[in-house]
Amino acid sequence: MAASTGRTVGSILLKCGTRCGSLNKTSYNFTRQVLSRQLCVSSALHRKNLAAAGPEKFSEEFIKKQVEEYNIGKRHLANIMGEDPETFTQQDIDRSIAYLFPSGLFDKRARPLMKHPDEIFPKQQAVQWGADGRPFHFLFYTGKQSYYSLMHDTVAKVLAAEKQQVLLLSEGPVPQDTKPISLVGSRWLLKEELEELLVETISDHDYARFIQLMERLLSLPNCLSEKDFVQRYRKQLEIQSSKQQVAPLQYDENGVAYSTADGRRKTATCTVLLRDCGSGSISINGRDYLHYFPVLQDREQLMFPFHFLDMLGRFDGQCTVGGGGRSSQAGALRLAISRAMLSFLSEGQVESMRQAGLLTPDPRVKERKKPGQEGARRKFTWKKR
Amino acid sequence: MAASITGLLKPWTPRLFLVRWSRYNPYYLEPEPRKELYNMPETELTTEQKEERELKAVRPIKATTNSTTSSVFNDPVLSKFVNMMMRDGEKILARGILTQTLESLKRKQVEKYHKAPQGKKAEIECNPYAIFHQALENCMPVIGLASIQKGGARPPDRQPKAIPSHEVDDHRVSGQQEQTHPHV
Repeated sequence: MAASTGRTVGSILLKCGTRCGSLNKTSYNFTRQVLSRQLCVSSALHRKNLAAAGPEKFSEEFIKKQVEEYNIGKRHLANIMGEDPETFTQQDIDRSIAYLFPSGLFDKRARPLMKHPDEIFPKQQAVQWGADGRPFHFLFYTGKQSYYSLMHDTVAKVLAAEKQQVLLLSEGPVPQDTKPISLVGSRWLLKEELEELLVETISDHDYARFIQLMERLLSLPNCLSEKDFVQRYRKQLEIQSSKQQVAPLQYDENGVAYSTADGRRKTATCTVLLRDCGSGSISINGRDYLHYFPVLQDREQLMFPFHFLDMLGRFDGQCTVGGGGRSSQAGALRLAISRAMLSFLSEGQVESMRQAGLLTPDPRVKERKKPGQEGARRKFTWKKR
Repeated sequence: MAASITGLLKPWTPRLFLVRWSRYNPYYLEPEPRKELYNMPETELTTEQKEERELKAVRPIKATTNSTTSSVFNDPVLSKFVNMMMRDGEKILARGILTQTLESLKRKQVEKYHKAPQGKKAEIECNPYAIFHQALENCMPVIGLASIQKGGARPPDRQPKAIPSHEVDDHRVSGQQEQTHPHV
């Protein structure tokens, strides 16, 4: 009863809450706290960019209380599961919740979860106006104050850089150098990421204008001083070679180093065992590679990784392959051999292998036939009448 | 925190199906199978090559095709020629024909070489690959066509523009092009 009246009171307050601002906050928060004092929070709060929906719906005390409850709940959960509360990580929490509340729901967002409140309650804008109702920021009435203030600052920098350029040119012609700020290892923030940064929704047009303005700033010669400013809106791309999983080298009873790997291409699958013997003989499905691949192109593909690294006679290979045709089996073997060789190589060689295209699994498969056409691309004969 | 592009590494189908699309996300770069380029020390690289290297370090790379290797005998022009000769997907036959052609070229040239007098021996080209490339150069058109976009209801003018023959593709040149120096 109390809860239902609380909810109705809360709903009335919700409607006038956004307009009255801080006045009804305390009663509003009380009803919110009564409703949402739970360990697990529902997925209704996973909507996109809730932050920019308006000024804070959850006050600071509320968030703090949620964090405390989360921490206490984490310790309780650790005790329930019989583990040490001090070293209970988020992964352990996820595992325990999945164990205690098994759910067969297909939508992952509908399943019970327990995460830190910072991940559930998104960042919000603080109240933008003072007690007298007057907004703090001079661009508040534009509606997107953070975005427009960012544009305002950037334009100020552009104008300052242009002025400086004019001054330098008046002193004498300066030789044009290459771009002062290097852009190679990074990319511009995506629209979603920028929205997250500004805690505001912006349109595609706004985003395009922002990128245009930043490019203009970068095109000016004396923009080195704004490097930090620009780097804030660029995200570093991770080095691709760090993603390669290199298995450690194994040794058999004679002390010979060996490694195994798998490879796939279209429907062909294969496994390869490379031994650091020094013989250079390769056997496929028990037969010599010369008998198994009578075509030169397939043997070239087999030898490609060895030739690329100048290790032609060094390894002894035992391969098993099945499925696909001759060409896809050769491709699968090439990938498996390259992967098996990774354990024997240095980082620079791994990177050169990757750039040569040896470590990427080929995603090309047979394209499906479409209805209304004879094949994947071929259309039926066109008849005029 | 580095940006992760795990979503781009899966086989990709475009949202809007274009006529020419590939299973690779357009983010992927072309592979470079020649091994000499990877042994070059840092000092010999130009700025463009250095930038290209930095770019390659952060972008995923496509897999090399079945017909490409790092061998010295691998020639992209010849592979293209073999593909164009190929019918019904019979690559073995097409490649066999090309290899036989090159062999017969060599035999004929060596015969000529042995029959030639001492002074003329140096002029006879015995390398079949060099002969092939020279023949291709000789067949290339000197002038290509570029269509010029002009405003108005008239159909677009097609003016012959002088383009250096090594810049002309094997298919028709279309769209706007800058005026390059005439090569006759």
